[in-house]
Amino acid sequence: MNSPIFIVLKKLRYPLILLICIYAILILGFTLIPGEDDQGNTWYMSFFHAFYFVSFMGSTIGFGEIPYAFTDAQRAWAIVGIFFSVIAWLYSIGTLLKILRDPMFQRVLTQSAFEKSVNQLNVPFYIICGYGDTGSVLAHELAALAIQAVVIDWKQERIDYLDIDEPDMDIPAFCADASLPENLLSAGLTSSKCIGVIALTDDDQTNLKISIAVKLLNKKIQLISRAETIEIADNMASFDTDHIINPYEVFAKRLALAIRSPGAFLIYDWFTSPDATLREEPLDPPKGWWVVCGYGRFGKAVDRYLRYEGIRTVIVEAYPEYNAAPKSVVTGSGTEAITLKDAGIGRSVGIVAGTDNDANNLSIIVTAQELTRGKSLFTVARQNNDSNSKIYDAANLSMVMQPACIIAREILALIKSPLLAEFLSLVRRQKRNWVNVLISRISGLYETENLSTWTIKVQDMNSESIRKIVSDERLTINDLMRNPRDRQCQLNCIPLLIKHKKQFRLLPDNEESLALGDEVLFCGDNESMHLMYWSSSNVNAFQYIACGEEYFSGYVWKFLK
Amino acid sequence: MNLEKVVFAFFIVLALTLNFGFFLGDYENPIHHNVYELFAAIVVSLVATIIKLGDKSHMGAVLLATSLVADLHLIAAAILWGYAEHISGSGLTPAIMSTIVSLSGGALLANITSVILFVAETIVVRR
Repeated sequence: MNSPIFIVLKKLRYPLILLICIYAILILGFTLIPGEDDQGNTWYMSFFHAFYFVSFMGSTIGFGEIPYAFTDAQRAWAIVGIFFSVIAWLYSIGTLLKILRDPMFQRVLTQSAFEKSVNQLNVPFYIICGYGDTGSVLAHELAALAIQAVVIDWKQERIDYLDIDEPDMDIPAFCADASLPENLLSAGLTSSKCIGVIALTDDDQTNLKISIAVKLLNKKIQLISRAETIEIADNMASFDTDHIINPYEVFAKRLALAIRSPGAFLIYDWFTSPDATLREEPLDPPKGWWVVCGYGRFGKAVDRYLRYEGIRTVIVEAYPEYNAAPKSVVTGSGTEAITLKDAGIGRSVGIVAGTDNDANNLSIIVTAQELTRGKSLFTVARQNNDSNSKIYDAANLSMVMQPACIIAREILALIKSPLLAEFLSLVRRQKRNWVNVLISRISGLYETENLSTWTIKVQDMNSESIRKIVSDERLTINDLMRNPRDRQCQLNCIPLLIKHKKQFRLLPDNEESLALGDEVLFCGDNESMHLMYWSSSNVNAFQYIACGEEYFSGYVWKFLK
Repeated sequence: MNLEKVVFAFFIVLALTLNFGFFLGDYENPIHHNVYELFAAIVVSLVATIIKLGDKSHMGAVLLATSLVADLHLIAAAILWGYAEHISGSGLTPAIMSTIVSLSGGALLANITSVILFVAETIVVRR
């Protein structure tokens, strides 16, 4: 009973009772007071006339005395009636206006409108909690992939920002505290269409609360959560959060990957990058001494992974005790030349500016570049605020660590295709040569701006003939790659990974036969992706690419055949 | 003793008794059915409906529904009466009178349901 109409009626109880009572008394009075008709006979007003007269008396005094001119007694009663009914109406309308202007009532109205628009969604959707830099990037990317999202954020200005900068899709958004379960329920957490929750707020505790609520209220859906400290990440892992993303760890891992296997890093970059500007050549971070400025959460993660890759690091930290830096630390912020010289910038090949202040980070990089003029220095800087992108671009850095972008990429890789995450983790363990061959294969075939990855699952689509083709082992990966417009042509794509009965295999052979339920990950251009989605989901198109015959769908044709 | 409950019970029971008083008598005979009693029954029934608004319990929801049913019946009866007296020109014929009384009989049934529900709730509370 919490719908707006009941709230209005409940608050209008007293004005309505007052109105009914005053009307009842006035009508009764008019039926009891004797009047005179045009012949001078005594006449009593009927309820019908009394109700008519009282109804217009309060609002439009001046319709006249009906059906006969009133006696003085009736007029006296009408005077009483006019004042009381006007007061009752003013009171009722005043109360109604007060309710409509009440902020709480406004909130109920927006909430019920939001719930209604979520309920009306008839496509699977993700709930994004927190619409900051990351949430905004993610919502736009999901919209580009035609995946529906629902947004909750506790700041009204961010919700307003979504209205201004809305992607090509109508995204229901609501200003509410996502850590309260009822707000998650309003966003459709238990709806059958909800396929996942992404907790992206900038507060770890809030993300933790969201994760617990999701796990308890709807176990079946995918849960992706951001966590910036290891304790919170462990806590989330303890109750089976599907994916925990710590932007610092992720970036440090990528940096380590770029050092160990530049090719694997390039592939990762190609397949997960949401923007069009892609590197053509692999990054090759040099091995040798590295200076890490700032030993916070980011500095610690980078330091740990660099050491793991066998790289020697020097830490520069302004507050060594507070951040529990090791004994060999150089005290200072790193923005001054003297500190960097102390840290041995002259012999270093790389520098990481990882403080939580963007101006300081850029200052560290510029100072380091001044000090090592003439030498090539690998520069990595952490960007804390999305609005500083322009100056980070201008600083010409080797790598920028931007938490919003990193989290969005990781999540996209998870959402776009579960096989992609598996593929990337397998590639990480491959030898350099293997990776280089793959890179040259991919870059030889495509413009990298246009590169997409997609997963196709072999389904029988309730068709007897498809079941037969598959069970005869006549369906190969090659068939899937045929162009559904002309099966002699091949689509421009490469099969990257096959999942057969829970087993993964990299780069399957094109002649390999497929079984029902097999999943294949492809990469290729967008056009091939759309054609293959069509041919793998439409019975007739599938029949055509699989055996070159059109499918007879009508009973008559089947019979004649 | 709770004043709210007193008022609540008062209106529910009064709606029933007035309704019953109007219903009692020969179906077709206008003399047996007083127009003031119908008027009082309508007013009390409307007030009883509004009192029930905002009660969030399941019982409150059912009582609101039965009360709305009674309102509809009684208002229909009143409209029919006004039509017979003033618009049709035929006056209160036995046919129209019996329709009015049977409509009020429907309202009576709804009011009886309300009272039964109310009594049942009171017995459960036992205070």
